[in-house]
Amino acid sequence: MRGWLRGDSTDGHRGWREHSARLVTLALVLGLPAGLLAARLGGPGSSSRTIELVARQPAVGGWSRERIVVSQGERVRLRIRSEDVVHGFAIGRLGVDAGTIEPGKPVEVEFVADQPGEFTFYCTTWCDPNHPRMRGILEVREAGRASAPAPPSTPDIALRGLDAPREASAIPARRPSVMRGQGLFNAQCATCHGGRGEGAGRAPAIGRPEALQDWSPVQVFELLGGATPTGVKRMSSGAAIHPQPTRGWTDQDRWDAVAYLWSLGTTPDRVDVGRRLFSRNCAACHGERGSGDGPGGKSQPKRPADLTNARTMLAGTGSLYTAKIRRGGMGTGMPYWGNIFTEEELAALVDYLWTFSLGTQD
Amino acid sequence: MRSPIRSGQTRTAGRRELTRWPMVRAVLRWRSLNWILMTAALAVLCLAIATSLAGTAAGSANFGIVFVWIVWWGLLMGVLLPLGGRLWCLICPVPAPGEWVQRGALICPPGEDGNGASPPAGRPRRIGGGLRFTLGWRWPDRLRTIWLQNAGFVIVALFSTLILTRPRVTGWLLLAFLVGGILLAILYERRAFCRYVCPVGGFIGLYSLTAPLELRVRDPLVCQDHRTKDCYLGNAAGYGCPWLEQPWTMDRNAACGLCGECLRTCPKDNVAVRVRLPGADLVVASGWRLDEAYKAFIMLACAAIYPLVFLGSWGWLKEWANLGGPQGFGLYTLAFLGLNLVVVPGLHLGAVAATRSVAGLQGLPVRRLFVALAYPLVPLGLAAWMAFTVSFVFANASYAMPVLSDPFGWGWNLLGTQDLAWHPWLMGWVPSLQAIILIAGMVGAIGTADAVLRKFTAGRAAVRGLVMQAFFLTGETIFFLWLYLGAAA
Amino acid sequence: MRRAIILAVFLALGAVVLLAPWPMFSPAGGEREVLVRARQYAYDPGVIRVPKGARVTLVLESEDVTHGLYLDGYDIDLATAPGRRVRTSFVADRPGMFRMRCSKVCGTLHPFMLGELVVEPNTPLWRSVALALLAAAGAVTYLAVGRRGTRGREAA
Repeated sequence: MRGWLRGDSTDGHRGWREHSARLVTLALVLGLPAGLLAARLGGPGSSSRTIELVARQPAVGGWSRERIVVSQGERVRLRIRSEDVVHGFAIGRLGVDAGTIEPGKPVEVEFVADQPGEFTFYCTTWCDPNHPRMRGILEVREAGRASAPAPPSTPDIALRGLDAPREASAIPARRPSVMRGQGLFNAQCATCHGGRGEGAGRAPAIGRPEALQDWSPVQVFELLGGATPTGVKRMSSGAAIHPQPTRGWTDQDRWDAVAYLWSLGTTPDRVDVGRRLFSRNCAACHGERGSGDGPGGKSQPKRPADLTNARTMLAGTGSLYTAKIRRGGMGTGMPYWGNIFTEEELAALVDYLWTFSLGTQD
Repeated sequence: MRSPIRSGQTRTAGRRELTRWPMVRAVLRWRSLNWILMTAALAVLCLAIATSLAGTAAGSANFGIVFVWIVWWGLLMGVLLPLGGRLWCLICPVPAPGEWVQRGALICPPGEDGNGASPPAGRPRRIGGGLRFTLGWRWPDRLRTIWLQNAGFVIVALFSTLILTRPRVTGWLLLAFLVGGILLAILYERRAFCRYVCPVGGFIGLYSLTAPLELRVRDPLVCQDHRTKDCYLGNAAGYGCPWLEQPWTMDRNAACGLCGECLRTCPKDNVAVRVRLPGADLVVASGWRLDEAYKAFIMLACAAIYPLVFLGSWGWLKEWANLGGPQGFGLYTLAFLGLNLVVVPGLHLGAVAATRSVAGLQGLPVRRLFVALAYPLVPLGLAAWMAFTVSFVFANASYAMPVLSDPFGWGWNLLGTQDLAWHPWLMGWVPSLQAIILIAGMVGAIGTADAVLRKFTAGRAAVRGLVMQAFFLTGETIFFLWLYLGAAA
Repeated sequence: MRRAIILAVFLALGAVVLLAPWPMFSPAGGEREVLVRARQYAYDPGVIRVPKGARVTLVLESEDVTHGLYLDGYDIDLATAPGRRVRTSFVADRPGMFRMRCSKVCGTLHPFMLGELVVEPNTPLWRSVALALLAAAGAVTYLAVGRRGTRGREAA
């Protein structure tokens, strides 16, 4: 008995010291990892509806889930973690943006899925040559339905001639200046079209954002010079020749005026939104300055378009570029953005794009 | 037959005995101490294995990677090894389960049925050293060297790029160690794994020769007349030395794991723990062996390769080491093995030949001097490894705090530190620290070379030999200084 | 006694090596702009040399995934993803070799993604080398001198 109290072993019996030691050891050695793992299954973050999403580079798997299904009105909580490099997470058209996801630092994002439909979630940080393909579908089903409504279709995706080669008949010799264009406009055009192009009487409101969506800069350039624009483009009045073409203006003057007209159709805030969208989604391939020399472009089937190339860019219209971005590149590597960008985002992006070739950001 | 007293055992001048203080003696003889330390370490090891195998693949957020390759390695190389020699072996959890199975107990000693006496009816007879549940096979004589440990270290070092960065690989490696330790404990006698197999034991055994801590018998004359040798065979109060060491002849730290069993078993209270000046064991000639010399070469070669591969700016070299392609890794393996096994020993042979000729030692066999002069490389190698450790530990220690809150990397925040950002510590001080460590190691190496040479010669010849040795040792130190403070390109 | 003198002499020499001003052999200052391309797992250029006192602008660009650049000793931290250049400027007033480390986890070998910035002249290196040589000479002199006769300190 005394030996047992002392904790010693006598005659082969084990004292309390030995027995309690065995308990403690077993508890620690098995209990610690087991306890932590059990906590994972029933502990923080495992409450209802925390959906775990693991991000990996597309070469080794991409998103751990291709499709997430939730019910309309549900409060959704996502925990996103990366296993290799820095990724990003956002859901198009829902305004959900989790920012960057660094390996080892999972990010939680919570939102209410109040609209039914199919939305695209995508990685927002270049992570791999196949980064543009790192996407999945968030399906928000109405109560009682077995599937979600399809995403809205846009008619201009079927626009013919989307991939036709473009070539402007003329390009500016120097980068156009919006400031000079403003001076010229005020001197010559404002009397009919209004101080900010808001229109008056028979002179159309050319300063409104949608006014010049279907006009290319070179067409307006030709119109101002008194010629019939390429492709016999007609104004809203039906005529193909401008009633008051500019006299005494040089080519550069006309380009300056075109640049000013384009700047009237947007605001500095919108261009800024476009700049941020471009930097996050487009610059990796198209390059920070839009010249098509981004590192991501090296692994695509076709070299990304040079957005600074005035010869091609000035022959296109806002609608054309909006459609191209929506539809994607049909095998060139340009991703399909139709289900990701809202209409406002697309407009802002195209407004920013013009700054590469037309300089409308000054 | 009386055992001879070794010269290394009588050198006690200038050494302070710690076990003279009753508190220290009581703590070191406390049986529960080993269990407490090893269980705590075992819990950490199990957590490391669990997180490595099941947690995130991002190494910097995985407890296993951070706490093994940054925290443990930093503590080992920076504190435990230079100050305590094989002190880690006292805490190491790898042999713990196996030893507990062998003894049939976690803490308690063999008791009265231990060691040789007939056990009570129904109880199994105890095998040598007081052990119970082991086959107790004798470790083969031919393997009673550290060659196995040398090979193990070289292989682990060769694949270290993979091991250090992939949690899964670390997890399987740690699990293999743990299982291997248990298996060998059940098959073989005592801590054969620790003494003859563990790759870590290989180098901390060699480097413990420089440590300022030692465990020796107080008076070898007392042991000469002692017949029952309880320290090796065990008795009721404790087990026989698990390290298969014979304390009464022990004159070096290399194989002593500081477990303290001999402190508990010695009926004459003749075992002491002392502090001394660093490097004392390096010049104990009875211990000079070729396998240890090769360990010194391997450690020195790796101390040069690691900064080139890991701290250098050559991405292609890292890719080769990272198994990025068969040709790249094949070339890397050839170069790695060549440097470790041929080039560094070859350069050493050149230095030895030069020293031999200027010191007039042509009568001495080359091999003897080759082995003896490998020991000055030990302080320099330790310094080089400490310099390497300083570099990456200071840079990455800040990963330890977040990983404590989120060991698996799944987004937990147990202690509230999960979102602490990575930030290198005191990087401006690192180059100065590295230079001080390397120069201190060089001075230790030169001092060791002097002591070694004076075993063979004296006077002017010894001085000439020393100058030649200093020439090579200084050259090697300058090479390391360039690796850490200069630009490799 | 002789040994004490040797020790004192070498310590004094050591202090001189540590504290003496170092002459600049090439012009100091100036402006340098360096484009650093980051990829898994190295920087290009891997080694950058600038003279002490120069105003250095580092422009970081990534070729494959998000990378960072932390500069030891100057406590500078940049990070970027492909398609965006970031830059920072500082005056290289501290000489020596400073490592550039990746500060954004970029894959398995991330902790070993390193480059080097050398602010020349690399006085810490040269002083350390000089100290090493001095320490070696001092150690040899100390050990060689002051022994009584030919007896070593311990019985062989």
